[in-house]
Amino acid sequence: LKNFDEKIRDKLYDAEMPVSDHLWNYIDSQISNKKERPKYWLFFLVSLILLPGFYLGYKSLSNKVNHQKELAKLDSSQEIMGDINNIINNSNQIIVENLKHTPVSKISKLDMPFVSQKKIKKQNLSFQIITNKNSLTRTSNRHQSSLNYSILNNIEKLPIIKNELLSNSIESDYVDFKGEISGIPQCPSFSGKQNNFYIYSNLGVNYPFQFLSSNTFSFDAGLGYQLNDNLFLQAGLSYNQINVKFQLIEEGKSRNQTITIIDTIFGTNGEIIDIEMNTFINQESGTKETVVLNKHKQFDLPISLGYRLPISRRFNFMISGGLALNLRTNSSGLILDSNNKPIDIAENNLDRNLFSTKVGISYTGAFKFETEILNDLYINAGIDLRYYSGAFNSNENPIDQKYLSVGLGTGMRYKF
Amino acid sequence: MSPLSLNKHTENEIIALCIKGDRNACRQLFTMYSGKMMALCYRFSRDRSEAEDMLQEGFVRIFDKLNLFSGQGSLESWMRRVMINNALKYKQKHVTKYNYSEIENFHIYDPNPSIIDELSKEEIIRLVQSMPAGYKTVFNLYVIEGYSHKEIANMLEIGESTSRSQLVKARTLLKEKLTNLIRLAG
Repeated sequence: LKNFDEKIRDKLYDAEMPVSDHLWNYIDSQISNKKERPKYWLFFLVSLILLPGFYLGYKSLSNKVNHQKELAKLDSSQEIMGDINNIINNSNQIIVENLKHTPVSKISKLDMPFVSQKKIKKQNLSFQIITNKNSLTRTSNRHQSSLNYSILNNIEKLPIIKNELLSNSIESDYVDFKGEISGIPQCPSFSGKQNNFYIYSNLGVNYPFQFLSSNTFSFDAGLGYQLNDNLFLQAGLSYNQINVKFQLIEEGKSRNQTITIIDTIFGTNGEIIDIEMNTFINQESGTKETVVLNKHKQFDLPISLGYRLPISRRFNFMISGGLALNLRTNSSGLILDSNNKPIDIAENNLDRNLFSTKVGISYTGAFKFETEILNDLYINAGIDLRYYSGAFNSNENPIDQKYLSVGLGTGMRYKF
Repeated sequence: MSPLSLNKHTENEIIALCIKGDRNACRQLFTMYSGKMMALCYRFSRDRSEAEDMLQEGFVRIFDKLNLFSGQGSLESWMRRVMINNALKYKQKHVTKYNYSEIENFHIYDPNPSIIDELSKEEIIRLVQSMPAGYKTVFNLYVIEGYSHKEIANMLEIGESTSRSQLVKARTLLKEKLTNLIRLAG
């Protein structure tokens, strides 16, 4: 058989066949197209990275413009304020719109806690009110020397406010005002301004579909940014390890076993007379089973865009998707050589030939539920997905080794 | 130009130029290896037309991935592996499934291996190519390309024992064809 195989191989391995010239034209056109094809994924990746920067820049610019608009409104409102101007100091502004009948005491508890200060003197009262917004900017005004506000709508109600404020009895009276009130405090203030940044970390145990006896462990951590109430963007670093079980059963293997027998010879009185030690080698044959975990350790740069949907007062549902750019992959373990002998990947430096050190881009996704356990600290749990678009093997190894892993993941994030 | 006429330095230069997108260099590399790769593809294919498709797709893949060639080992070996991988993918894409069914009334032919010497390369290639897809794929991979049964099993997503049995049957069928051919010629 060997002779037959060798003869066939000798004849055919280097055999050549004539090739038509027109075949090159197709190849040439395909190569040209590939060279000119733009890398859309690169644009997408760069866009994802730059998006938070643009958003922050836009937000900052937008705030500046709104601030200037408010000042312009206030300037135009001065004319209709009449007597009230007597108590208004131009150094601060309050805008009141859509007035409603609302007890001041209620407002003071819910929306403007600083107003409930009982010992406020009229000369020391100044405040900024923002209602109709969930987040209230609280301002300490004790150092302000005068009361300052301006009102754009329902001017006829203003004397009530004026009188009550001046008589320090604002807790017990009702005034008709409510709506959007905005101001720019001049005095020293403390602010509960929301920070949209958060840090996160995730831990996952996944199951790669391609290999029955394998598993994946992953850990990632990084920085996130809340783009609006629902959308978020996060990026960081991740470590991912794919363990593939390598099992080889070799029959008819022999091994040497060293056996040492120690004989202690005792005398009639129990004393030790002699100690004999005999060592011999016993050869035994049988089936040898080799089991190791082949490990593909990866360091990645993940970036993902997600959507957080409140489903109840305490729970959010999150869906996210993104990319993980592989920075480095190290493979270790055993593989079979052409003679079906197990050889160590690392010792033989075969990882360079048979396994890539960079496996390219992976696509990631997650479906998770989240809840807040402490102030600004959230935990989540759900399903993780990861698809490796690139093969782990190099081109010299024609067996495409790609993975799609699905599993459970848990994580946490902390808003600071 | 034959690959043998090029020294390593020249070949490396051609590779570097190909990676840069030099079409003349790509054309030169194609000219150098297309004959061998065509013979390889033909052995895996159903006919010449299919072999040409495999060759074209294989070379496009080679030029696309040439920057990943580490330089360790010969370029030809690397190209052969890429071409084989591509040929298998092509068959998976265009053929529903290899036929690995058992053959009843299996006869053993054991001709003298020296009859191979009496045949030309082209004749033997045609004999190999004329075998059923499952047979010739395993035969090509094991006998000519030197893959192990374990590797073949992974590549074709079949059992190792299936690979072994396909090889035995392929050998027998090829020997039968050889015997018939010699008999007809004689």
